Amino acid sequence: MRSKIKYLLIFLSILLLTISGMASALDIGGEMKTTFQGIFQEDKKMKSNLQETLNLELFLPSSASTEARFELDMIFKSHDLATGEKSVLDTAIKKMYLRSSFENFDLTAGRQPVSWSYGAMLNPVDYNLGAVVMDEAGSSKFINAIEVYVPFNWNSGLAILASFPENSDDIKWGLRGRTGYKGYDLTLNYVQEVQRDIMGLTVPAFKRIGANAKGDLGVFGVYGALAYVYENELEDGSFLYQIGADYSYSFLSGSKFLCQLEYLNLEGDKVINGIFGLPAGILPVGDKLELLAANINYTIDDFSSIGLLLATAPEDGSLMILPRYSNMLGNGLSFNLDFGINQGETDSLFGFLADQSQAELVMNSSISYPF
Amino acid sequence: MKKIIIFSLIITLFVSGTALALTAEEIINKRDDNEYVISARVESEMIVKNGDREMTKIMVSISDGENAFITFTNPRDRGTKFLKKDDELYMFFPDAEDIVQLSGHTLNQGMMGSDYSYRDMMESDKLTDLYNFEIIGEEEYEGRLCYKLEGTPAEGAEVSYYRRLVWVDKERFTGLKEELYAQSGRLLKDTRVLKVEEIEGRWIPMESIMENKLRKNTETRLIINEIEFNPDIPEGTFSIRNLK
Repeated sequence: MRSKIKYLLIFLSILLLTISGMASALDIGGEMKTTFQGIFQEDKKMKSNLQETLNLELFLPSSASTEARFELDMIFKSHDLATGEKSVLDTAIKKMYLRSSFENFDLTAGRQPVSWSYGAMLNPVDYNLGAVVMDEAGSSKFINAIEVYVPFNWNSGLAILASFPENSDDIKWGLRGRTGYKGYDLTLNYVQEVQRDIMGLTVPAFKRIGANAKGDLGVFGVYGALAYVYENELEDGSFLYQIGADYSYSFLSGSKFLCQLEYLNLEGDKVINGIFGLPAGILPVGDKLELLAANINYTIDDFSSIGLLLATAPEDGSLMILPRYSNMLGNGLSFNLDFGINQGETDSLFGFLADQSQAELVMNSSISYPF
Repeated sequence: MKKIIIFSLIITLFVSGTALALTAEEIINKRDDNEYVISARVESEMIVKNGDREMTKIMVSISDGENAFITFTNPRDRGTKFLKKDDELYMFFPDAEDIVQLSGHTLNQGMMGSDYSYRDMMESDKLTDLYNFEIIGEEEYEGRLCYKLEGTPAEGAEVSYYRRLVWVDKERFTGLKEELYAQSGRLLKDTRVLKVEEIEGRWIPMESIMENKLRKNTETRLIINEIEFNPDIPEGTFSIRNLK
């Protein structure tokens, strides 16, 4: 039923544009992508999935004050190629919003991405948190929302957000102020989560006051975040904080090396599980969690690079390793290869995640073509 | 009478000869008068080649003094934007619609995989403010007679390259070739202008190739398709609001 409504919306949108005479100014772009996923399981068996994605974006003509965006993913999944399980077609509307600019503010309404990123790998003060913390454009960022943005000057402004989570009847609220001071990018934000039901359990409605800063310290880029998370009473909450740094070096030959290191400290069982978008007690961690993450990237030449992302929970010694390789093949094609390995005991953070997915190693290889 | 005429001719020749001998600073200033753009809207493309692989970046840039706003329109990077205001650089990621301030060390990296660094693309200072130039000769380049000048960093200037050799067209005062050196004396980059056009009385390099001399078989070609000087830039163009 939901798919039918989606198709209807797509159709009505296209029809409206055609009738309104805007069709001649309409442009379509997107990306075609084929991904092969191999999951190597603990019992030495391998499952394989094939996914073909067509991302379509309509570039609608905009006026000086109004802009409309529409972007859709059509995903064709073939699960477990070996058994020949039935393939599934799914659609996901990523963007479908109108943005109007008034003299003193901008109003954006509809399905839109909301991301409060500042370049960190783990973002504990993002509007939407969850298991996709390391995914740059994870699906959790695309939400149904209304945002008002009030600019104060060229680099300062206030965003007021109301969103409508799919698994809740309540409205989630957020505020984010941003400014620059002596070369530092500073933000202060507040989020009032909604109570959600996940896996039959309840994730409580947290409130979070957060701040982050990003700037330069000598040759290093530095950033940090501090947040206070509480459920009902202000005095019952707990702090979380993050510090990170990045550095890059360009070799005379033109290749480049980038490294990024950050540390995240979380306290409180509910907070920790909440950061991962889970009900309390799901993750096998106590009342405190430390995460250390590192990202290393080496740009071999203009077209290819290799990288490694590592995350560890020092207290239990568990580890997540994500090596990757990308290469632009020419003629617009791109090849990407990445692996995911979770190591650790069953009662450790990443060991638990490995156990849940029943995978020792996950490999994704994809070829994409933007148009 | 004859002596007066001869004396006048000698004086005239002496004065005119002196007036024609430009200094290095004057030559570079004339070049900057042509090429230094205070305010412009430029549609351009950057073709990056490595062996037989090639990628094209198409962009529209608006600049005004210290500020620049660049939007990429080629399919792979469509919607990616950069804002440079004073010494700060922000990038807009179109998929998640994130606006992130880039760390200072990224300014020296190649922009979107090219041989042109962010600093190269956004360096808005006049060359005479950054370098001290000296005429070291005259040479013919691609059929055009050129002044050959050497530039070394001015005191206190933050520059990308330790030494620059510049070939400036004697007639048009356009840079036709440039060699960029490291402090060690090693040649790092080489830029050659392939096409020059006169626009609004200024000679503008419309097509140029930059080669990274430390990498084999690579080049970045920059082609200006359209340029408009002193365009009407709407208020608020150089702002985070406009990035989104």
